[in-house]
Amino acid sequence: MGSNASFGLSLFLQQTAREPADAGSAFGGLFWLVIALDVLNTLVALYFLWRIWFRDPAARQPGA
Amino acid sequence: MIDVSQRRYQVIGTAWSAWFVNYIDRTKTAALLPLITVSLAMDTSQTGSVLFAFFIGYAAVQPVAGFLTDLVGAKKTLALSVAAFSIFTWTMALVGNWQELFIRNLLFGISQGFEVTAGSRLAATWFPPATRGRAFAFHQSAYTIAPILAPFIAVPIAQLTGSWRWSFMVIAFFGLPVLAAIDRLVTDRPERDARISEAELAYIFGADSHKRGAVLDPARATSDEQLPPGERVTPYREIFLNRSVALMFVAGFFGLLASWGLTTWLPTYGVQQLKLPLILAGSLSSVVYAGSLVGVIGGGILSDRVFGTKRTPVWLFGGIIMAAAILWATTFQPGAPLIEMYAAFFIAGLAASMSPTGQLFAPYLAELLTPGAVGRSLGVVVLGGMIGSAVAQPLVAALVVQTPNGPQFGGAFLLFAACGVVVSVCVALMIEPRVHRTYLGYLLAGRKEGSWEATPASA
Repeated sequence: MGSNASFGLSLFLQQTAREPADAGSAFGGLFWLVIALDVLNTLVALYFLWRIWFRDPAARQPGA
Repeated sequence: MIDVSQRRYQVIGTAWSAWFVNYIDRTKTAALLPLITVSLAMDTSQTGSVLFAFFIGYAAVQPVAGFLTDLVGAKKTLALSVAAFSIFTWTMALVGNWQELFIRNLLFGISQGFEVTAGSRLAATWFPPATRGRAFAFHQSAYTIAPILAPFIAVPIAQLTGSWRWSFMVIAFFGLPVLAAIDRLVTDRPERDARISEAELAYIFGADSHKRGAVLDPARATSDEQLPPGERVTPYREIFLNRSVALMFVAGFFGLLASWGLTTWLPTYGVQQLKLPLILAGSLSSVVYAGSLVGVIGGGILSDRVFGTKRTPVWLFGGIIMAAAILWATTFQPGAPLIEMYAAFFIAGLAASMSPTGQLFAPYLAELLTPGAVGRSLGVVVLGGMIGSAVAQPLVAALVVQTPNGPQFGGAFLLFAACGVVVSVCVALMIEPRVHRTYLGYLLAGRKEGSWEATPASA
């Protein structure tokens, strides 16, 4: 963890501009693309979760 | 040569991927933390609270994660952990203040706590004792490789896009192929897998490969005949009133207190006490992880091939060697040769990984108890380790002494060394199932096996 923090700190030292706290401002015109990607990511993750929890085709029934 | 068409390799490879993405998130958050704290105008106390939230969420969920893993199966809990990774990682890109970050890290810690019990149970269930140590060593290599690679993934994305938020957006998608692999490749138990060959089943379970078992929970069965192959009846009192499990809890607390305390504070120690340039100070932690990688792989091979599937001999001197390496490090002052520093911290990382929370814990618990109880027992052990990880940060901060020459970390290093000694003492008192007594007792008695038996009476 520590080494990663120092890599991040190096990056920070290279940057002159402070990024805004508001994500909308940070992403600018791409904000809605970001939201669309997030929704897509979540839907795909939930789809796999549903398949694995409720429709698992790989497992045999007990005693099979 | 490994035949990847064998189902057990597909299962352990998928568990490795899940463990890898779990650690990628933890370490990329740390890598980008300096940028995040400036962006969200966080002070040191708020940053500490945010880091603490992850560990305390992770620790709090361990007993539940262990039970759920044994109850619903490792596949479902593994999927839960990776799906949560996919969702919580992108939420990081949208946080606007430290309170949101705190809640996100708490929830993330809770969800990620399910991976270790699930991956460990899969390794314990899918591999026979003869190769279980090496299989689990491969699984554990993920936690040493991810911290080495994460900065080279997260930081270039942030540099390229000019925002730390894009790193989280991109890495959030890493979880989806892992979820697809879990869906396609993982089954909770070998004998219930539709695609496994009879030859592979015979390899895993030997003469018992024909068994199926109507009762999956070793704590609920009344006879071994009711259980799947490779399992034995293991009542709850044997799991939770077990001397060796309790010692693993204590060893986990002190072992992870030392290793997380060391790796988190090493760059600060390098810059402030040794007056090293930032990049060299940061590389000290990378050297610790490189040592852990060698230790994890080497420990699995040693356990399976040299010690005849005994697990505790690998752990026995790990804590003491770590203590010696850290005591060596207390002698370093500005101008000390870099190669000596690297050697000391490489040895410290290697030895720290040779502990009951660094490696071989799943094979050990499977052999001390039964593979079907690995989730529950490991939940107890990891709980101890994560409490140690959480208290390490404020404890180290309190032990750093401010002097006219700058901060001195000697007190903190002495604490880490003492933790290493406690870990070795705990291991010395743990039962080695293969010789039916403690391994130290076995050696002192001229390699004579003891009378311990894996029955409720011995717990």
